[in-house]
Amino acid sequence: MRNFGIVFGYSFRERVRSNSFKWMTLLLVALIAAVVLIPKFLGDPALNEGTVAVVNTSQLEIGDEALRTAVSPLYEWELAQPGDSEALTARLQSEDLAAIVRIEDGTAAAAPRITLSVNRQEDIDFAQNLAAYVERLNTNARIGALGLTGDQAAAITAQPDFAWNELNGGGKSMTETYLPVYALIVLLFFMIYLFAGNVATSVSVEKGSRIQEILITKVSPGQLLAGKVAGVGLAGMLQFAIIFGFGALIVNFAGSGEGLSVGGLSIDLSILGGPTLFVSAALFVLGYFFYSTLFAAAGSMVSRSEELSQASMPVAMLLMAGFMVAMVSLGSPDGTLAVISSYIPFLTPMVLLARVGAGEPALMEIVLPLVILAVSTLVVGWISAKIYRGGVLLYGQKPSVVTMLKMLGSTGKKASRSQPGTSAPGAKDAA
Amino acid sequence: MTLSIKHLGKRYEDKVVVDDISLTVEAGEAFGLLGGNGAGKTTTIRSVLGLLEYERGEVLWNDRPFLTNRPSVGYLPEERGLYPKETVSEQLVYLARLEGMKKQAAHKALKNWLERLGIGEHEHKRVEQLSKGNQQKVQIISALIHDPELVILDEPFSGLDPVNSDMLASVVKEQIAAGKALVFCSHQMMQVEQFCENIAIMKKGRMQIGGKLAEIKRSYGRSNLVLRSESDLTPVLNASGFTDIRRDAQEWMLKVSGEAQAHELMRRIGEAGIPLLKFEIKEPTLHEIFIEKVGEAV
Repeated sequence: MRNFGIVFGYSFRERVRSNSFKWMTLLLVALIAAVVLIPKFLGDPALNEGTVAVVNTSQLEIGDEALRTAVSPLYEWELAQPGDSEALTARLQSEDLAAIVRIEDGTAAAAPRITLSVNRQEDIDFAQNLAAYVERLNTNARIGALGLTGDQAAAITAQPDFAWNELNGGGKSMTETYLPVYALIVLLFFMIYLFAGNVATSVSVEKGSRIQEILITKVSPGQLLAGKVAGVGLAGMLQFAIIFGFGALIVNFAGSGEGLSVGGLSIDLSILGGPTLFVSAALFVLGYFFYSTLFAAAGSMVSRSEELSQASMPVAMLLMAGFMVAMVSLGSPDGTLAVISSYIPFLTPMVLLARVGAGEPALMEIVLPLVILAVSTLVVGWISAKIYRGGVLLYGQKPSVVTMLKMLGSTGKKASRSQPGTSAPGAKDAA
Repeated sequence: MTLSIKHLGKRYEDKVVVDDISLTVEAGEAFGLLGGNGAGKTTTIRSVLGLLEYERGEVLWNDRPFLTNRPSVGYLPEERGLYPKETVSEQLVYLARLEGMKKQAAHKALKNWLERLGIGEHEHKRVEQLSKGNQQKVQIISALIHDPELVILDEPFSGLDPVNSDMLASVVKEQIAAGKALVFCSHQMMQVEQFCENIAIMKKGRMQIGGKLAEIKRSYGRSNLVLRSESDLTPVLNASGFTDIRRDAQEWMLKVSGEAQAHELMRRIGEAGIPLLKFEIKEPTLHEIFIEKVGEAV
């Protein structure tokens, strides 16, 4: 146990002091700062799609501010004179303008005429809003001309009373939960992949530099593996805390308010609620241990760290499969695929998260997969320690399924520790 | 403190790599484990340390199973292993602590060792920044820093220049004098002769010869004759039927069947009226015994 603590501390410090840790943390912190702060300083340039010139020759009163609020806030609205027509067309052709809108009076009974000039139709997306806005102005103007009383006018322009009738009231709304759960699954995937991948790298470096042979004369492979997995894992969590702590700080500081908005997409994790975040944390911890021991076993099979990506490919594929199934499960979190695959340990971390985040699983449907995952993690840890122990001394040999099975079949260090009795037949013969 | 290996046997697939090896290493002595490449030395050591499982025999420390009664071990593997990107002090303290040392004691021991081997200024450098010879010294410190009871050194002199070789030789002698049990694997026979009282020569997994070095030599008889003269001895030696003669400046070295043959030759040289400056009958060198037993040059 003492050696576990020493390996744990060393692995943690080694990871935190590594250049990749420092640079990755700095880079991500800088990225978050850039995403949050640059739009602030540049006045949200991402929200400006271009300028639209409006030539209004109708009787309707149209102002640029009204256009911004009623039609689209994404454009600059510029009121122009009919005489500027040629200059405007030239500006449109040189992409200086996104569009030219001409609003003219129609005949007495008809609605106003709107002409929308663009370079490509797909350039603009406010046509419907514009039509509705002009129609509303026109309606108001015509009602005004009729000289109706206020009540009469209100009766004509009254909007239907629209109410949602949600049958699954209080349940999770797909539109509300999809994005946050999606974000959480992506986050879980990358965290497990990065942190567990670090364990594989660390193991392969020890193997490649051959210090492993000295280490396992001092520490049992099980303690070495557990200390490393825990140390690198804690370093990963620290990195995560720094990045997101800084992210939260800067979002607060910059006054972005209720949620982090990236490229106009708002990700508000608060919608997920406590239980989902609690299950996510449990899934991260268990998923990390499950995969990092597998990655460590893969790392112990290579002779040089250059071969690592090839050896860890099967493990990465398992993780990727979980991600894929989780993505599919998001659309139908209580469907057969999602339910069954949430019980398969290597799929559990991400699929169960999709189920808990977007679906309505019963308590047992959450607890049971977690228990299965926990037990499998112990089994995988035991198997990985065996492969690790055998693999670390295997140099220059391609890891084959046969060699791995042999390692699993080996009696392990315990048996050899008590070898005077167990290896007796040979010894007695010889003696 | 005694390390005993009894009838150790290890095979890979169908190939026997260590076959019935028995040896004993006492405290305060160095045991020379010799053999050509692929003789099974490293496999024997790895089996002793529990890095490999073996099928036959047993390894004991003070007559109790080695791995359940494990002494503190200082191991210098043939394939050197250090963390290239970590500093000298960082990794040596780590390795020392894994052997049960307290952090402060480890730092203190480290300082002493770095000074002793003349690399004190490299304490906070990364290992990859050091020369090969200095890396080798760091590796040696990693094996000795925790004051182990059993020291296993696999080719400790490789990569060291003559000055550093002498420095390491004095360290090895200190370890022996301090009562450590020391297993010494080397191809450098001079070093083995310098330190080891007992040796074993392995070939293809089997022990070719083993025991006290002095006795082994004695059993070979005094078979080397060295002559020194200012005159040319070759005609007399040829006339006496000696063909396997090595000449080195003013010395002639030849094989004799025993002391009687050597004295007979001296008589003939005297009859020829050639003055001799040196006449010495010597035991075979370990190098010669090794070549004879292993059958290949080292």
